[in-house]
Amino acid sequence: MIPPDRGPRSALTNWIPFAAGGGYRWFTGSLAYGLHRVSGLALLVYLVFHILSITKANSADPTAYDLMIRRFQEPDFKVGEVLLYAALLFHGINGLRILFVDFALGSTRFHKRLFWIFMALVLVLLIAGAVPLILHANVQPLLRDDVLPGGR
Amino acid sequence: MAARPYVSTRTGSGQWMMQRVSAGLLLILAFAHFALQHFTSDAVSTGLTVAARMHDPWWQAYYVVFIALAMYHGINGVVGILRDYALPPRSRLVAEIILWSVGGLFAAVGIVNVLSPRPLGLIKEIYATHGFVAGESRGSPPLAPAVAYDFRGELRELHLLSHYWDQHTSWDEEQTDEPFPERVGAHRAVTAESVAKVGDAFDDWALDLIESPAGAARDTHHTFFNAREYALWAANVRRANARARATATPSPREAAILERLADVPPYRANDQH
Repeated sequence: MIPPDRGPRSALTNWIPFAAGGGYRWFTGSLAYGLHRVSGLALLVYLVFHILSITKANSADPTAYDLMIRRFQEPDFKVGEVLLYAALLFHGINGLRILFVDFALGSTRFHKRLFWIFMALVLVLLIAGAVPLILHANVQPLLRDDVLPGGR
Repeated sequence: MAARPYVSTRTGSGQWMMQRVSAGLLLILAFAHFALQHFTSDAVSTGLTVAARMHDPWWQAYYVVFIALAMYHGINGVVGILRDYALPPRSRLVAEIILWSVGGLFAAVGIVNVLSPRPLGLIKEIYATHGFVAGESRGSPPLAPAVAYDFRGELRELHLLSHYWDQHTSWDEEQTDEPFPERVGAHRAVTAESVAKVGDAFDDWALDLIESPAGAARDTHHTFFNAREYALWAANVRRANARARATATPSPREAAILERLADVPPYRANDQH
């Protein structure tokens, strides 16, 4: 009998207890599966806080919302914003891959290659989006103190 | 009687399919929302721009569907994770009831907010009466340290007014001049004098327009329906901000602005809406 291919053992993680994921052998599929769950749970927690914070825009004093949005431009929230973008990109694009694998005929045969192609797409979009986010490219009217306001 | 085959895949297959259907729709809705809020001029989100968007029934429909689908997809995902842990049936039932209730509650909070925006005219009046905001904010969730901001300073105020003019006002280039004729690229030094010069030019432009009925066609696709409404609103905001600055530290500059704008009529939304 041919033993099933259970993937390479990892000497790197064998010392970690099994309950903490140490004895687990990570494949492309299980990596995608784990990351998909973690990013999905993070997005759900974010969704709850997002719904609650946006209610401020519809409160008796909507100007308080402006202060909150300005606070979100500080470095600590910027880190969170980039992480949110990364979670959204991974979960969305890996989700697209799952839709392909589930519904497109024959795509299970090359689902590993599909995963890495999609991860390259995640990386490209992450870098392309994180640059304007970190540079505050679209919130200049809230931040600039070194130029005079001008036309479009 | 022939034994029926045990078809475990039937259990939860409705949820399995719905998870994929909602995923496909959320791909479009979520990425469009994120791109709009972070990579366009709408990244400058204020109480005014949010009120203006929620004024549009198409955007309300967008966000009702978005919130409902996102919460459904999220809670259904957590329920799926719970099933992997094969809890006893009673615990699973209790956990699922709690998850769906809490998720439904938060989704309801969001949807009620989307469907019951305060009138846009009321929001404009609040800004026109009290000016821009100054104070401390921790952001949300409120765990981070608080930071103080002041949007009433003349330069900050003019930047925001410039943004509302560029992105949120309907105006006709042939009928109305630019209130901010100097370009950002001019790289002139920012001094009290240069800021005052831009502010003075803005007030002259606004006072001129307030007196003339020109360019007063209503275009409700913008936050400000025409250049004249914007000018009246902005002059009220400038007066309220100058008053707030003068209360904190009186100066000849604020006195000059208050004197110039003393006769500007108050912004009344009912006259515009």
